[in-house]
Amino acid sequence: MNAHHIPTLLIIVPLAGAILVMALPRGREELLRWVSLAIGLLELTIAAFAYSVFDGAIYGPQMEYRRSWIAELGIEYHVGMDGVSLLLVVTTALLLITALLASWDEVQYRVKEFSATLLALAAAAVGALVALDMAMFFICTEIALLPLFLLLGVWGGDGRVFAAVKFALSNLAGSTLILAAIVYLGVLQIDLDGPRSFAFAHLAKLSLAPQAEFWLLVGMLIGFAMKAALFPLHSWLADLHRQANTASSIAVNGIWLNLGLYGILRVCLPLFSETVQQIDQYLVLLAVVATVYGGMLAWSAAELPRLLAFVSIGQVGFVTLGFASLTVSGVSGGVVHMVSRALVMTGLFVIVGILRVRGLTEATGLSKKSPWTCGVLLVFTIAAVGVPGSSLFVGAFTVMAGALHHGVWYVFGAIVGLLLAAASLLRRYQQLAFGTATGDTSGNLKSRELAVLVSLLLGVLWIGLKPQTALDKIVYSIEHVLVDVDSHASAKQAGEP
Amino acid sequence: MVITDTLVAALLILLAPAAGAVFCLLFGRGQTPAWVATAALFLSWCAALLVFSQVANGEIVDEDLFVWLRLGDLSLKAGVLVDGITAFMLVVATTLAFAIQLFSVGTRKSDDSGSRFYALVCLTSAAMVLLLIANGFGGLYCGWVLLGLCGYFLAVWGRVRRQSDIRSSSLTDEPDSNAATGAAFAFWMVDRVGDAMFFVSLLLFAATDGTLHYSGLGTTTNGQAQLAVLLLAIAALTRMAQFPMHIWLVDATRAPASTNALVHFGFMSMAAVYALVRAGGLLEALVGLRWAILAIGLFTALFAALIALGERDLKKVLAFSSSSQLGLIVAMVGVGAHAIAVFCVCMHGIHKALLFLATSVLSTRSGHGLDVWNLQQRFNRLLIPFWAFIIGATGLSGLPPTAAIWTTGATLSALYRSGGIELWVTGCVAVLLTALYSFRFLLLIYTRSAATFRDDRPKPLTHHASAALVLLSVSSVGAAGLPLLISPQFLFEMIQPTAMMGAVNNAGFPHEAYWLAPVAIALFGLGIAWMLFGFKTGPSAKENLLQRWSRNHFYVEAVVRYAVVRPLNWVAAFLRDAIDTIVLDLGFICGSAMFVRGVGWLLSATQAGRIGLYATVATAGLVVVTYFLIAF
Repeated sequence: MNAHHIPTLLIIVPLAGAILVMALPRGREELLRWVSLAIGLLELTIAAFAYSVFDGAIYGPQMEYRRSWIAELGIEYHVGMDGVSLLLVVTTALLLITALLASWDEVQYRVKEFSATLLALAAAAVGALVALDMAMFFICTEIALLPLFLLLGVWGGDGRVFAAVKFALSNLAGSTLILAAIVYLGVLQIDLDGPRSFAFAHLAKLSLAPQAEFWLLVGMLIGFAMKAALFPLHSWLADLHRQANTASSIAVNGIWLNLGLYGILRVCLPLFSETVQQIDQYLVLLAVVATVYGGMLAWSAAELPRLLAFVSIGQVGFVTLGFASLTVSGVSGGVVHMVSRALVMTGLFVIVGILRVRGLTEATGLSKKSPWTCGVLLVFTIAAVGVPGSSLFVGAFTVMAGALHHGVWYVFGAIVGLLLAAASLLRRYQQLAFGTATGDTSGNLKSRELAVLVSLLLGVLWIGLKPQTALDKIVYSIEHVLVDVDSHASAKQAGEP
Repeated sequence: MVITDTLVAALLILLAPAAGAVFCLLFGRGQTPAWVATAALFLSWCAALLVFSQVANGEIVDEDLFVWLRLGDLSLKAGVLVDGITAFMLVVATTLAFAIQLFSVGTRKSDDSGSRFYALVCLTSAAMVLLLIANGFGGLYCGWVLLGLCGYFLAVWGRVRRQSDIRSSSLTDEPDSNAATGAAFAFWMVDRVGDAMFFVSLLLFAATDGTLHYSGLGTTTNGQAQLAVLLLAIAALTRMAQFPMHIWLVDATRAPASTNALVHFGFMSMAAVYALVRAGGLLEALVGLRWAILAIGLFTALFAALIALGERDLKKVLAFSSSSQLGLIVAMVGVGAHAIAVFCVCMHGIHKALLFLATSVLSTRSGHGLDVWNLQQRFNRLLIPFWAFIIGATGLSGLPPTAAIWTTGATLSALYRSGGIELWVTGCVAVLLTALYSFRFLLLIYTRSAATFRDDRPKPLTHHASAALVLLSVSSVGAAGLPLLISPQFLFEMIQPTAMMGAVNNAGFPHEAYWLAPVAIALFGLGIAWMLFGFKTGPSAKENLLQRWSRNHFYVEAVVRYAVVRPLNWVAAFLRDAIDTIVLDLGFICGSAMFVRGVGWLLSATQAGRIGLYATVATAGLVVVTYFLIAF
């Protein structure tokens, strides 16, 4: 098999899986679950294979494959992977399996549609991650919105429809801005009369008027910030997690938010590099405020899902801080933090799901009745706090090492946010774990759940203890992104006098 | 990388307890974890002694093991460094861990939480060893955080569950009904703040020097590097419970006394002094910071001693006594007497371990809480704890036969040499107060009038527990004999770190008769204590102002509660209710929804279904279009 077919394969496998699952007879729930799990495992295997053949010492995307799609507009089916998309694809595949296993007991009706939706979501998300064409990236992102909307609206809590509609409308509003920017870029290319293409590499070379570039950047940033739930555009996320089931919590928190952040990294930084450098300080400030705000709101949150939502909002701010630092260390840290936060938050959501299914979300004294659940919850809480050994520590260290270039006060601000988030998590853990034992049901883990949590934990520990293996895959890709930023700025400076 | 025997032995010190922890956690049933943990810690102890003998012969290990992170100019490697100071502290740390483990085996009833407890003891020991043998601040930080976590875990899990323990944390306003949830939270929180300071200091060190190896630091001294040292000092002072970061003390005392001896007042303070001494060279250049450290140390020495004098709960007395003693040690760091600080903090660890373990014996036997006015014991009932108390208390006060006779003398002489008579007098007052509170609880426990003694026959102490207490007592007395056997200068030279940032002017061992003065002062304190507290029947009914303030810990916890925790809650609630709910959610999101609805409502007026209106608008549009077509 040629390596350049791997990205396509990664899209096709879950897509074909979704169709296969839909073709299976209704009523054979166990079979459906096992088939979708097998497809998920296949996807993870391919992703792992891609990881092994990926050469970290090459600048730019690898496994590239392009074919004309809509020739008149210059839109292509153009896929490939750089280190960042590689790490995120592996994470997405892992989260797909996690979501399937975590909802094994939770989802009891319309299992067929549920599994197919989840697989379709994975296909769309992977498509967006491996896309090297702006239009294809956008289309895949928008397609991913649909299964997410269904996951939320069909399998969720009582207020699920409101949450789903709010989610979809907020994100569609953001998408409109991104679409407008894409259309502008397309029209501009028609005006320029050169070769027409939406390839990221091509778009990055377009010369834009500063004014236009500024507004395009603002539009794109708002659009992606909406998807990533970056402060102050986060309000859909808190509502969502209160209503969402485990699978959609994982899908939104682990996959969708990361897609938004990935958009900022893939689109905003290289395409509008000059303006990004100009408004850099404001972005850093916004990111720090977001981190602190997430921490503060987490501290005041009463319900566990809402707390986790605000912890995520703080983390998204923190990742943005890494990106906005525009240093290799900060951006790599941002990517590591993205992946690690997806793993850790997924672990927490899985446990919350386990507790919810057993009616224990408001319980106390769990450590006596179900010590293993409590122990795993503690391990994930401690990992989320970012102690050394957890991958979030690596992310925090490298992000802040990047942010330090902008001033030590930003670092202190971000630290306050992280501390508050950590304190809120631990306080909630104490409320769950200690005190008089309540709740009749046992919250003990099944071996399936334990396996899921342990595999997530292994990922967290792997990056935490040997971060260099993951960093080796992404550093050159990030330098590639930042070289774009630097060369644009220097070209601009050279051209000015 | 050269693999030497010493390197292997050093790694064994780390890996034995780590493996023990994993085993206890996963496979621990019944009595197995207790013995596995004891064996692991014994092995670790033996390896530490071996390493110490190797290092005393002049061998030093400094090896990089693997690259942890490399990004741009930044290169962080994990490695091992064993020099004199490390070897010395390794011996003390493993001795403490082994003794406390032995004591726990002897006193803990076997229950289901046993495996967890022993796993934590092993993990704590591993964290301390990791912190000591790491060759840079990165590794030190890993051990440091792990140690803090272990301290938290032991505080929430290790305790004997009594009703009196189920209280809210000293800093949060959790309602009392579910107050166990707040336990140890303040400890964790303050510790995390300290850790965060350390974290930023790591970042700054890495940014200035591109490495975290001890010997690679301090090449540039700019504002960033100075800030890094300042933050490191804050982190260390937090761990050493220095004013005003001492607010975690009360929370920590809820842990069982044996774990207090191990982590909170043993390893954590040793780790803090170790970190400060490793940063000694940079600290040396910052005169202002050193004066600040000196001032904080001396102030805490007096302040906490006053609280210890007024406090009635024995464990809190010991906790504040630690804070006070560590104040003097911090002052030693401030004046640059690093070897003395290291020696003092190790001895302090041993003496506090003796006192806490003896307290643990009393608390499991009295069943009446730990009020010093209620703990009457006949000294001959439990002879070994009695002697442990005596040695611990004399060790605190700086009296023979313990090693404190040297440490207190050295401390006072270093104060005199660096700051003159004022500092010496301050130190003497601290010593006097120490003697007062030490003999206060000793006299209140053992010399009350015969009528108040309880006549319950205590169970004799198990052999393991006795052995642990004897081991620690012998360590203390033996360390006192050490300078008589070998040259004291040799000892102090040996515990000078080799990989320290720059050279340090060191106030050496007191060769003058400085130690006579503290002994006299301590004896004077003993006399006063005898007059005040000897053979008392009960506390006096009226308490004066000083007593009340001291009993309330000078209201520092209350101030923090009202000035930090409450405002934080208010701000968070304001953000939640006002900003997030009203402005962002309702205003922003729903506002835009309402805007769209409003525009739709306006436009719906045009869709009235009247053919005439449509025709008019269409005609007007046609006219406009035609005009534009003709005009352009």
